[in-house]
Amino acid sequence: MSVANDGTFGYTGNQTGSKQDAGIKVSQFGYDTRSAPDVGLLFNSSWPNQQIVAYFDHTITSEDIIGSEDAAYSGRLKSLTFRHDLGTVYHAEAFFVHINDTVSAPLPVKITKKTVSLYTKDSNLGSEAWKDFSIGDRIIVLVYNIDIEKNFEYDFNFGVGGLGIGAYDKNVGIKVPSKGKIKESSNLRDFLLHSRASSPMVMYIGTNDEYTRPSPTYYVQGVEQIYQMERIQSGSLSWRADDGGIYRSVGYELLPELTSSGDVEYAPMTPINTMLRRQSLPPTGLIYPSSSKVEITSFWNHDTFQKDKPPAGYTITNSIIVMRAPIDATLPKKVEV
Amino acid sequence: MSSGLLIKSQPRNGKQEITTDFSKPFMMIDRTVREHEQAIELTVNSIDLPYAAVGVQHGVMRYRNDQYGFDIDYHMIIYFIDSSVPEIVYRAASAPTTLPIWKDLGAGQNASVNYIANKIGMRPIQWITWETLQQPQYSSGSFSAKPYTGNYDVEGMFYPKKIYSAALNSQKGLIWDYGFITRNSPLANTGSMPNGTLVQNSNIALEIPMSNTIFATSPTNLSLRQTKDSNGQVFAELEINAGIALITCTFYVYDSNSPCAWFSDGQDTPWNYVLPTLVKSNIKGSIINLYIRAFSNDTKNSYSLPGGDKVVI
Repeated sequence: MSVANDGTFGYTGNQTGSKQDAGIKVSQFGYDTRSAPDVGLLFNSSWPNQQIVAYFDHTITSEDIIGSEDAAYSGRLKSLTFRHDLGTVYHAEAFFVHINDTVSAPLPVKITKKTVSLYTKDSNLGSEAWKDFSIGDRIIVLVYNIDIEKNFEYDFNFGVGGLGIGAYDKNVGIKVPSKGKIKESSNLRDFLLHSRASSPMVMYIGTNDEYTRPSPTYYVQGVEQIYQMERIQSGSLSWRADDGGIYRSVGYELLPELTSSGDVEYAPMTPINTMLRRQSLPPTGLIYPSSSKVEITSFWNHDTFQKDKPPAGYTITNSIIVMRAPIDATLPKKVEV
Repeated sequence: MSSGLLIKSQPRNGKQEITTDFSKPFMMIDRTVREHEQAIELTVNSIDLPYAAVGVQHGVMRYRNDQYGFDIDYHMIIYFIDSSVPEIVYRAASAPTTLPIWKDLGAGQNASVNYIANKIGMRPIQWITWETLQQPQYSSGSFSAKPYTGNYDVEGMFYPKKIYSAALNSQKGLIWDYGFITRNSPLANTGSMPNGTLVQNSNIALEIPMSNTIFATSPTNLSLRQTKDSNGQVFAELEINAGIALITCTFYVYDSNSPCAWFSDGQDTPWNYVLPTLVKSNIKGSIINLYIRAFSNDTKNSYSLPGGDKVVI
């Protein structure tokens, strides 16, 4: 193991903008920490890691469920809002933790600089997921240190030769156990930091505001029709993966109206792989993560915005976030069905 | 937090900066447990998915005005479905479109003929079949149709088939995501998910509707969820849900209340329309690479919030 504190960091390593001239690097065997590319490191304290800055844990009660007074949505969760007051529009996710302690896929949320809101009433997003719960299940909301309004790019050094992670050696690396836990624990949850674990690294945050007052109309034989949505191709807002890897990605679109407290609010885009039902229109747009790139197609959706036309002054504003979280596909377990 | 790792810079201009704060928890992928990032390659070699296609017949009905003794021909298009199609599939085929799809070709012809006869006050005298553009087709594959019981329109879902359970080597649920790659035929030729797509949902469309509209439903999807066995072991459970989806009119159709799409009076070209066709879905012989990635340090790290509370609005 080599640990360096050599002041060689020449970039802004995390999104807070502080210059990284101090820190810890741990290289893999065979690499000099002072010259190792990112891919040759087990750990670098300057990596722009995805960290949790706010956390909510709410147990669902009968009061959280929409009743017969709202027949169209009866049985779904109410639109719960979680307030963190951090003052930055941070990316967030929500999960159901069911009574038997299994966890759902990420649930879509709307975000402001103060709040995270569950998106339960929208027929387009997670329409099934919002019914797949029981009283007593918990909703976990995680707010991450990812400011979706601030452009950012990490110049990851992939090195040469496609080095993967080395064989696990329990004697190499850094561990910081949580309070009351021991460093010998084999449970990753017992550690604040474990250099053999990998946090999704923030590779790219891109924002744009190129589309002022979209015109959600189309024409049939010269007659203007008000359609359900306007499809707007993303212009420059895409990100290319240099290594052909698969990257976590999230997209947001600015909603046209301020919240009751006067804050701008963003709604999530729908990953393209969602099972699209009829009438299940993406609320704002689609995000396409693939092995070659991440890109978006944004929409003006009447169902989401409750308007035929965008209000004056509104500009479609999108954000995409790309996170690196390498997966090891070298030893697949093959199953024939 | 009273534990953690805080990295500070050398004092600069009399001020010391915190450069890295690891006291906040991470979303960590556990790379010490291979199962948390393993790839599962599924070879689907024996699943026949249901498929169906709507029959389409073009013809001309000749009407006679008995008072003045002249004839008018009306071009008609009849959409009909195979008579063996279960009711639930028939409803699925009919529901998403303004065009009626008939269970029986003759019934469709009669209804259309009578509709126009009543509208123009003339007597039908002869039906001339131009051509049957497409014969109706139907196969249930190895699935059984059932009504979809959700709050939404009937969509002709089929009984899902559980195909795999993967032990996650955990007694606790894990935040996870998964990626998968599809390749080879026929998936590669049916608008399937592109290779290398990262999956971050519990429902994964294996096929994208063959349509230029996103109104259409993905006919086949892979459903993922976590389950627990009696020993408390958490599993990733994978299931194929087979359905059918209709490609149908995506633009304005003249007189959408009419029982069939027909040329309007005085028009010699139809309004924009596309033929309704049920997607034939079959992924037999396809390979799906599924990657499961579990995150640790996830749901158990409760700590004090910077402020605020839950608000119900």
